[in-house]
Amino acid sequence: MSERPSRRQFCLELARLAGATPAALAVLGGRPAAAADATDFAVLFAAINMESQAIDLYNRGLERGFFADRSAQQAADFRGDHLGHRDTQIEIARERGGPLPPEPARYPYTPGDDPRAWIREAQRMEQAAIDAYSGVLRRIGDRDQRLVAAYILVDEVRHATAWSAALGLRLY
Amino acid sequence: MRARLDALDELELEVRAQLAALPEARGGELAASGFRTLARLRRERAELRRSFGLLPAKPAAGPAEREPDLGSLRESLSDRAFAYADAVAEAADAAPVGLLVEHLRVVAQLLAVVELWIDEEGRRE
Repeated sequence: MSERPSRRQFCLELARLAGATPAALAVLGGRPAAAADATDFAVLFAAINMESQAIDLYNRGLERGFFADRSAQQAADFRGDHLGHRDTQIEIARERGGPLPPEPARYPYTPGDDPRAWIREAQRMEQAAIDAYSGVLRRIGDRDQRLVAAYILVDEVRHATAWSAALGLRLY
Repeated sequence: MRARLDALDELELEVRAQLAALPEARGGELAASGFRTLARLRRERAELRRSFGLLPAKPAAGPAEREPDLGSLRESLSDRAFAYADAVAEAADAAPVGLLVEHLRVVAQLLAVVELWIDEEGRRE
């Protein structure tokens, strides 16, 4: 089994990419890019990567039956949301004429054979997504991209709250 | 930004009315927590208005148009969460974005709690 990434490490991925890779993305598809554009693409690609990982976690948990009954319905619904988030952001990258988005990524950790561990992992992953989107929203220069990220954030909070409830955590 | 903040203030009135109508036995704790949260968000939005040099929020408009039930509360909270998203998109400066993002998260969590409650009621029937 792979080692589970720390939550901090996972949610820092987006912020790191948003802050550290503009130089690497300074030339996009052979054309010079403004620093703000490069930051926006770095955020987009890191977000697409994170959404792919979420889809993979839910795919594997559902295929192997670790999400059951009500959790199965929630996992399927949330996977659908993440598919929408990923495809929307791929479309934004295409419309803005950026380089090809990253290939779908696998979630880097397999929770094991306890269904509750899958719910715990899903909750951690969604919380990390909340932290990541919250952290990068103020750095996105394009208004439409900021709006999409903010709408996605609403979904991520809903997902994390549902898994927190399933784990019996206090919600309010 | 003023129009966005005005919209958030109006939507808050609707959410408050919906929370007040929750049955005490099952929704009292949620309503109490919701009122405390809404009061904090209102204070912080008022600070934000001052920082932009905007006039204070308008006084209360008319009564909420939606019937007071869980479904309407969900709709009101959903409208409010996405109104915060609109405000986040419009606020270009980092400081207001940070505050509005935090508010968005709080309202989205309240929305999720109500969605779970509705789901639970549906499974009981």
